[in-house]
Amino acid sequence: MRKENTLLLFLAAIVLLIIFFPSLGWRTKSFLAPQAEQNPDSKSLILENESLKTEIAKLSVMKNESSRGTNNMLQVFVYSNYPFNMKSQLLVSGGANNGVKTGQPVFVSSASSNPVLIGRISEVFENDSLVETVFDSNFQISVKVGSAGVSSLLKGGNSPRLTLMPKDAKVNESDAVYSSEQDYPFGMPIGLAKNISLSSDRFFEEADLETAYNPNDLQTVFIDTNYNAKSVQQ
Amino acid sequence: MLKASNNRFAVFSLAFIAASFLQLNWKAGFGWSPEFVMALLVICGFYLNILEMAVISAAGIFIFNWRPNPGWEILFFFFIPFLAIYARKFLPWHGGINNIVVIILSVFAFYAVSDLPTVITNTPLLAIILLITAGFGAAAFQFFNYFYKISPI
Repeated sequence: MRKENTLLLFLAAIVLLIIFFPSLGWRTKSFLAPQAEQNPDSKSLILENESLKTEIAKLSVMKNESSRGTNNMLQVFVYSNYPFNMKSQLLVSGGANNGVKTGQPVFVSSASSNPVLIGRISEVFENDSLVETVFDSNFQISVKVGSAGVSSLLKGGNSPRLTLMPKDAKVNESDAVYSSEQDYPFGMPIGLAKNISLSSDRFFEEADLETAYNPNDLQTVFIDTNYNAKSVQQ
Repeated sequence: MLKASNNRFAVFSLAFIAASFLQLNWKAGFGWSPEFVMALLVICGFYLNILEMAVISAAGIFIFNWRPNPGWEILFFFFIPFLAIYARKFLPWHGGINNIVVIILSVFAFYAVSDLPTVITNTPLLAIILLITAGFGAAAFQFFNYFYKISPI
């Protein structure tokens, strides 16, 4: 067989694989970059610590807020993630057939911690959906920081930043960060505040967001499919 | 033993796998990564014919596609090396310089088309990505240039 014909055959085979068996590509990708082994106990402890700090902060601000478990959430597998920079998206196994809708919050959780918000559904397919995580440059959410409940705007990116905090805000290192978005349930843990500094214009305080997870290492996440916010689209 | 010209496709295929391995592991470790694969695909445009390049680019889509159906972003990623071959025609410098210029333009064009507002707000990160990718591309080009001749346009 001529060399050109062999190459054409290869090309046709790859195109067919892309169209009909995309999961083979995701498996090849995970083979080339295996997920880091992490001690499950330490991961669980960090998540628990983050969750407890948020619980204390949340109770200080709103004493009657009840805790949210993952009992009513859909547990899904992470198939693949966005391979380039600037965006952070995960392809997960739940889709429209499972009641997933655009805008629904997505969590990571361990047996001993409350769910920690990692992002929201940005696109829904029949059996899969895309999650935009807090590491995506387009992700923004209103949050509160610490037991003082300092309001801030969390801007996503490779290094998510807590912005627009008043200069005299009582924010400390490792203060819990939790959601206060209008259309989301109040008090969902997101992470901890680190490296507090003044903004470049010196009018506000800013901080880095530290999370207990690496978005590239996630294997399962939870979708709150029962959650129907005003902004959740069909 | 095969002549160098006969094993060219195999060498570039292996280089593609190595670049994918490097890029995916760099991203897993640091949360961002230089565009090693795109740089290699552009270099393929200097040494391989259209069909050989199409096979390697399609393999790139197969590994890097993260959606159930390939989106326009990944299709643009596939076509960039072909646009790079076309751009080569209009660049006046010798191969090494042309290669660096085309790599920088390709990476910038990919991110600009993908999400321009995000690129504008992340200029420092893009500058680092461009710098490391161009450095990698220049080194890889010189390596291949030692063994192979640049294919005519």
